[in-house]
Amino acid sequence: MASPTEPLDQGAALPAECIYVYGIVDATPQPSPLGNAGRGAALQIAAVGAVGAVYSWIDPADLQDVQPEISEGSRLARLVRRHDEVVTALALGGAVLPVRLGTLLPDLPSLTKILRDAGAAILAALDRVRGCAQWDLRVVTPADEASPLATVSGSGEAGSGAAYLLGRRDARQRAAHRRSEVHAAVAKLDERLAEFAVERSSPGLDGATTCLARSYLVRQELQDDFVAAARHGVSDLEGLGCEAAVRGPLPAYSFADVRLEAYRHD
Amino acid sequence: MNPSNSSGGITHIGGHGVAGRTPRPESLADVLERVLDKGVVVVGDIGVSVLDIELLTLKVRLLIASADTAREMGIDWWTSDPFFSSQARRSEDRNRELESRIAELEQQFGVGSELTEADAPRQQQREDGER
Repeated sequence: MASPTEPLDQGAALPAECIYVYGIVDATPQPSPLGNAGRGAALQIAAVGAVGAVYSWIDPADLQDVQPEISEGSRLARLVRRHDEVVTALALGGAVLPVRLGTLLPDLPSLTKILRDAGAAILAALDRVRGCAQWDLRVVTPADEASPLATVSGSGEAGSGAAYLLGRRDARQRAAHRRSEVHAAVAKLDERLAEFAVERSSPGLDGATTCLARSYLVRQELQDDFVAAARHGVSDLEGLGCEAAVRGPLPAYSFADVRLEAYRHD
Repeated sequence: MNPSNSSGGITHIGGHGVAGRTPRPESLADVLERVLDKGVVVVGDIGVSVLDIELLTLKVRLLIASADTAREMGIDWWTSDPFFSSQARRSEDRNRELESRIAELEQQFGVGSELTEADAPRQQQREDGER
């Protein structure tokens, strides 16, 4: 199995400029104008046969020591926003395979080599997402059932151990009942949305209280039905005290799980 | 991606139990969740690796999970801070909009900003008398 790109030696000097790759698209027709999506970066396309890659030249030092700062204005925020804006603009013009954030190549021949070597696999991956968009569902459970720190709202008075324990038991039973109601409603919504989707991603858990984070790949002609089903299911979940949100149409980030192998000497 | 209407905007269902187009940018957490660790991966020795995306993703997810845990414990100051929260930004925008509408109405009816709650009945009586 191939390993991810090797980190540079700590002592090795970085090239002055590298190619930052945003996404892979059909080479024809040419992608629609991207407006200001690159936030000042001049976007270019390298085409080989039927596939092309949209890229810009950047100073690789811009990507060094990026910290996990989750605040607007941080380097990570600027990097992620720019990447997403370009990919989203590309997706408005046709099928696009988003390339993983932070993918840098040393020069143009490296990029064209990848496109040439993996042309067939790239076309197959583009066909998979063509005419579709990604929709994301995220459900966050009510804090009172998810938290181990939840307070017990029993009827026990201070000093009454038995009443406290009874209250605690009741609270646990209520929480278990609520949990099973929520899980049933989430599963129902998930199945309903999957009926309108070509594919759905593996469920992801990205937070302590997240009950479900899932992406669906939905054909354009079924998007209105998908939205109607989502609206109904989300309303049910909100009635149970959950925070539920469905968002789309988005570029197919979760359905572009392609690995392209590229070596200098092969 | 071909959005179901011509605006090209993102449809956001949920949050307040309503569905609608959201012209404002998504929150950073939403974008991070969607973008990090996803998409086509180039493997081999041809790439220049200066960003350890796996490690960065792990750290970001740990931070988000820590924030969730803190919220459960009642520590949630950032949710009302417009710098960190798009919802707080929305509230702030809404407040500004309401303030400006109140100012317009005050101007329209010739009511000064010095009018207090206690003055309201007197103002009403004056208006009734004029009628």
